[in-house]
Amino acid sequence: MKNLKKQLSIVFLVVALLSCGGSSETTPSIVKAPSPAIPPVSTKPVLTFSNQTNALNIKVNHSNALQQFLTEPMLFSAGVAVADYNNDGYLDMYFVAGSGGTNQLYQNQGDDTFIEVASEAGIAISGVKGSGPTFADIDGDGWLDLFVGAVDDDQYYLFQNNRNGTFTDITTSSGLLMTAANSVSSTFGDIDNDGDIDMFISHWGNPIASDKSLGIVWRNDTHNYVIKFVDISSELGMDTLYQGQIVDTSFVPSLSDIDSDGDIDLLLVSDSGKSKVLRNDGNKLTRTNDISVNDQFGMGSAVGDIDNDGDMDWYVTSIYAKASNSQSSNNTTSYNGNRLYINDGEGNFNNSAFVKRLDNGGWAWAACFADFDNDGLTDIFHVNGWGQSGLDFSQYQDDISRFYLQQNDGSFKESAAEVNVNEVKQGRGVICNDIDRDGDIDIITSNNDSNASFFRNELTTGHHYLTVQLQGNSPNTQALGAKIQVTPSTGSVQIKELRVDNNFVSTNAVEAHFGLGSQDLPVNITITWPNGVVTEHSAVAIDQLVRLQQPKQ
Amino acid sequence: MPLAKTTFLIIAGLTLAGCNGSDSTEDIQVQERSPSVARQWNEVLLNAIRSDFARPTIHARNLFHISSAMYDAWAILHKDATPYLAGATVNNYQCDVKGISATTDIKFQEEALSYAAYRLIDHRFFRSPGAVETQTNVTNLMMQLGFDTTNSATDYENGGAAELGNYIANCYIEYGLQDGSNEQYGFNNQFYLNENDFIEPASPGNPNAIANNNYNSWQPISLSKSIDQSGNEVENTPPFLSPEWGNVLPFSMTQDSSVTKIRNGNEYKMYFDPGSPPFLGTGSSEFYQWNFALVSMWSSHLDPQDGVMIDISPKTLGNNPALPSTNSLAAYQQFYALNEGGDSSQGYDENPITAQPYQEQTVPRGDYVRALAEFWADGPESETPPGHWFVIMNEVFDHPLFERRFAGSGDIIGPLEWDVKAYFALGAAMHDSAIAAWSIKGYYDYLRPVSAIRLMADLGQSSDPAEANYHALGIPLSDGYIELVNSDDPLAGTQQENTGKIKVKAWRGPDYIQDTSQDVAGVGWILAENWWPYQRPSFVSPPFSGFISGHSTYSRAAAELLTRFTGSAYFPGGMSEFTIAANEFLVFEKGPSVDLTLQWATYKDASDQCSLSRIWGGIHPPIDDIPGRKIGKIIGNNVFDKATSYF
Repeated sequence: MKNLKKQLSIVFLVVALLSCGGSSETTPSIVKAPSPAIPPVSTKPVLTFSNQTNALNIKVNHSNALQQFLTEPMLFSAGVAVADYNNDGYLDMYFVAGSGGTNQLYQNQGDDTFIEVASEAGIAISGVKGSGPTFADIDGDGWLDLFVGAVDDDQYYLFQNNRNGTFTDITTSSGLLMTAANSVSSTFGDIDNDGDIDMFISHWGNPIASDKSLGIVWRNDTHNYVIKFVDISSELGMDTLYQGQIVDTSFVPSLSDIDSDGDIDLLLVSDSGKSKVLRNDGNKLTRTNDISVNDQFGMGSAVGDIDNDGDMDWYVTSIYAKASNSQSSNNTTSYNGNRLYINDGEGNFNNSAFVKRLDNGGWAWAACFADFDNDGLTDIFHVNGWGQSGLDFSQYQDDISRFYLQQNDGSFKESAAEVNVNEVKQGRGVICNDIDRDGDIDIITSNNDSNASFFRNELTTGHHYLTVQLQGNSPNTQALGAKIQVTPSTGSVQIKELRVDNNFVSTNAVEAHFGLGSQDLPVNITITWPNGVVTEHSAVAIDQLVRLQQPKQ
Repeated sequence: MPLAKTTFLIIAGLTLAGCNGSDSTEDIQVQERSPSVARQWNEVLLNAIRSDFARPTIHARNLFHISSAMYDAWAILHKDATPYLAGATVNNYQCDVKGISATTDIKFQEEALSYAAYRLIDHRFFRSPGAVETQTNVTNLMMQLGFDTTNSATDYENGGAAELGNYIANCYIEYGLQDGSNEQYGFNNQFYLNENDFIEPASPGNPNAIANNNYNSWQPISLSKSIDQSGNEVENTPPFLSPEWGNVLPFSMTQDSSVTKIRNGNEYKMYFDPGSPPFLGTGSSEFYQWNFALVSMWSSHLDPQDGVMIDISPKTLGNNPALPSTNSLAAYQQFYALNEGGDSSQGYDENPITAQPYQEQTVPRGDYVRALAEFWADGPESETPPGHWFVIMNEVFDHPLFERRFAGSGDIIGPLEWDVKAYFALGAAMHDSAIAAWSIKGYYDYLRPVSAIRLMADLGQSSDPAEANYHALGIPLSDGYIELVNSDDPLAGTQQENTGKIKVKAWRGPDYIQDTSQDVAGVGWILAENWWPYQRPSFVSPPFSGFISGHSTYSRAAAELLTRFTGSAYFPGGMSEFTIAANEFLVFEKGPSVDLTLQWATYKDASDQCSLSRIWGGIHPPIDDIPGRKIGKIIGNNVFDKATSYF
């Protein structure tokens, strides 16, 4: 007995030394002493945002004249898009102002100031219940054109860029003949692999009828810069997508190559009736039978590789139960909130929103994925809110925007108040782009019946980044659908797709921002261009915006 | 085992001194740490449950999974024990664990166990209304134990006990996402719909059940509007809690004891099907009427001023003979005392431990039954019935006469090993009880007494066709308990509007209580349409159907398990006591009028009194009780057999 005792104590002495970090030798099984409760010294940069709305003189006041007869689309619509419309290298902002106002275009002067130029540009739409503006180079001339949706049978617009800072309204000649009352959110991508980018529009509330196209996918038939679209939704086999429902409930079309087979697939976020995953098999969009895609009221959409495993994951915002109040007896106890669909690599999804604590976002709308603190981990921001005093679901009036900061262990920390983006408004649209070009991602919110907000990222130094823009060959000059892989000398490989990300009535500028953490060496970049050509770019300097050109064919 | 105990004393000192150079003596006695680390986590868990919603199914599952994770973390490091889930495949879920070898060092077991408990409690309660308090409690305990909560790594092969604990917690989290509980979607019901619309106890009668012509189905209870934590006035009609709980993966129960039944096109998996309860309007109407009339009659016992004095010591109470062999009127009439209350208790001639007779304790019946009803209420802000049995078990283990000998024999076992095994077994018994009881509740969807008594009274009296207000399905009259309102009755009303209605002698309900610390509603004649169970008006009855009683099932299962685990049917010293202070203990109203002590000789006696408390509390008739006791008995023994196969 005595001998054994001695022996054991020796074993544990070794253990004790190991646990102090003295040796890299590993011994089998559990041999580490209890970890000391000493918190690690923090060297992380500090992340905060400052509200620069007034300082930047952004005076968008969205209003759909809600004192009149109310419709749901009047309450859910708003919108903002960010893009460099005049090719001066700076990101501009275009806001929808609703039926009670005039849309505004803020031209970025490159010195942290903006000038409102909507009238000069010819896109000062006034008195229209607009929704979801989207910029894209439709005609392949290297200049971004603009689509602006609308609700309640109000006028939608398609503008062609005149390459001189102005636009021409080509709605009637474009072939876009949408019969749906609502054109909520739109995006672009080459669904038929013919080289040009096609258009995708959600039409929430559109009555379902046999022999009637959903009007969701429009093929780009532009020739010689004369823009033409043809509805190919039926051709793609989408007619039965909302079978069994009274109306089409689509809110956001998102495009991503979820099964990594080289073409873009359609993720169609849909209110009540579950979001739809449609795989592109060359000439049809086929809805997958994925029972894990089980959101109840899909509203906002964010796509990206949130777990850095090389495939695209998908966040769909929805509604989370909230106790009703005296103004509203609407019971929401069965509403179970947002979904984080984790891709298994083959395009099958598994929801991990509950385990990751990303499900309770209130009555959530637009969401974006972005690495706000440049630590190499994708974070999530989304806005929310619903209801008016005396109306249904008014318990959601005071919802606070959510900011989920991803931690090293893959968990998320809700930090909206901590980083100062805890806005309480009827948030609808969100933009996440580095608008001031200081190397971190800023946030814009577009709010129903309220002012828009601009939150400037004030991240302190310590983490590095790289922003990548691609110049594709015409007609897909934005290289939509390209994949960008960044390989740092240390740390995870990161992959991003270039897309026109529509987050719900709001579209980000098309560029890829990579947070690199504390690693400060040049990185290697691999581009898979939309036509499948792969280019390698080694030892690219970081902490900059790089523009890479597609090789000419 | 005793060897390891002495060994560690040296090691702990070395470890600490080696790392931060401080000389620490506080950890020297770690092996003998009592209460054990498992016990400390169990207390934190019970507090977390108390500050969560009162959800007995969900908390039975929490108690099982967290106890089982602690057991696994201990067992996987112990050479003589087999873990339950860690390193095993359970119900088709695989928790792979490689390359772990046993250690005699209890410190590692404590560390692994603590990380497992910490992670799992944190996960299970992050959305609880008491989440902030619970997070503080778990973090504080980790700090107190010297563990770093920021270590969330699960890479145990390159790490240590902390990583192993995190890994085991992760297995339980994943297991819980596919165990049929629908945890990740708020445990929401996926197909159940109530067949009867709500009952609103603040308004007379039961108009919705009458209008729906459905006298047997559960009704949601519409409570008076309440103010939530944000100061908002909230609607409060809680839906049925866990009618689909039969789909949750159990511990000991197998396909052999389950049946799948279809109701309204939906499948209900049911364990230990006890057969239908009596339905009003069918051949079993008389049994139905007797059951719910009994609940109303026992409500008249809640009067501390009626002069009825009873002995509530084990000399008179406890030691029940066999349960009714069939669910029939005759068998139940024999078992329950319809008029005076209680069951066929025989009491004990003497305390077998002390060989002395039990001391009589004579108190007003109205005080005893009210105290009993509240002691076992286990409603809001309680640890719920499954948690209550953990409290009772902990008290047993703390008793000075108690010895930690497995099944009452062999060497004394250390506190940590004892606690992890006991919690694992009791947790499993509570979890299986919840699944079995709620599988039956969900399928039969049987109504509560507040629904049945009021709807029978709405129909009329079923005793005398020649008398007023006769209806064959009405409530049976009983002199002194259930009578017709005559024209000269004070209840008749100024316009004789109540003449011919039914009146009952019963606890008069919340309208007679302004201040629960000062007022006693008392017992008197009230219109049966206004009958209330002895509960808070903000609760009335638990938000799920009555048949079968969860309390009876949990309690009997726990009692059987404790009997087997400790090797004795008796509490340590032959009796357990709970002291009730006059005018302090009751919270539904003022009382009791005298000091009294709840006493139980055996675990089963405590269980039996728990069962009866639910009848006096007005929320279960006998037909809910007996099948629960019978099923609890099976579960308690099956769980003991299966759990001990791992030890």
